[in-house]
Amino acid sequence: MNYEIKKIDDITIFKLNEKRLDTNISGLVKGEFTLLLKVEGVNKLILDLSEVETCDSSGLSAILVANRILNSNNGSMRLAAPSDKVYSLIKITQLDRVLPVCETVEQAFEELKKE
Amino acid sequence: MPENKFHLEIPSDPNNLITVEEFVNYFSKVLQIDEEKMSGLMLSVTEATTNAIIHANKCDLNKMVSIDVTFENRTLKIVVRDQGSGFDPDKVPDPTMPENLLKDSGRGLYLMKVYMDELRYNVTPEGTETILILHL
Repeated sequence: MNYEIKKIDDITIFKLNEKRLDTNISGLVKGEFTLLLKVEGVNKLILDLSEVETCDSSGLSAILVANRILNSNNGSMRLAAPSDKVYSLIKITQLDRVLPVCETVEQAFEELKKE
Repeated sequence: MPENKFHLEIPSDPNNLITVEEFVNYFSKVLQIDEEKMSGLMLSVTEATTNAIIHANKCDLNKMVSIDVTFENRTLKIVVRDQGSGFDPDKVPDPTMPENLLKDSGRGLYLMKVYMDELRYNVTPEGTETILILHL
């Protein structure tokens, strides 16, 4: 799995450099999120989805793992720059009710900075 | 006569999902399925195959998943067969209900229902058939 992690102040940006967030990598993504959020104590996370073209239900589950851990630690996350297909999936599954989505990483950063 | 039947058989390894995507791309191109329908179709077939590989066949490489596609009267019928013992789809929670929104289960089945015109299951002594119907 190819990804980058960038930290600016107390905000961590996780950029997934994969075209597909699906069964083949969702377990690894969950593992990375758990490490970042539980072991390293990150509590403001931006998931940069700009390179991800498609996602399936297991990919959504991986994102929900991060959301669950952050909720239990009073943390926050933003999904940034999803493709039309991924955003459509988030809306169809009604996860936009619990996962805040921003058009850009910069917008996500500004929102988290205020929290 | 244009090709209207397609078949794929794979061992139960999640790495084979890429082959399934290529298969969907292939028959969609032959059948000239438009991009809008194609994206929901791709997601539905891969979700059905993922369920077959992981939940039904438990990633046992000795167990196979087969996909049969037929196209007749502008209707696409896709049958995904596994060698598992089946399940009761009525017991899968609706993932859009507020109490289930943050849970992991049921989202794949929900997506298939949203994108397909019909979703059925047929449990046989040999395994389970997931039947996806899409009118084009």
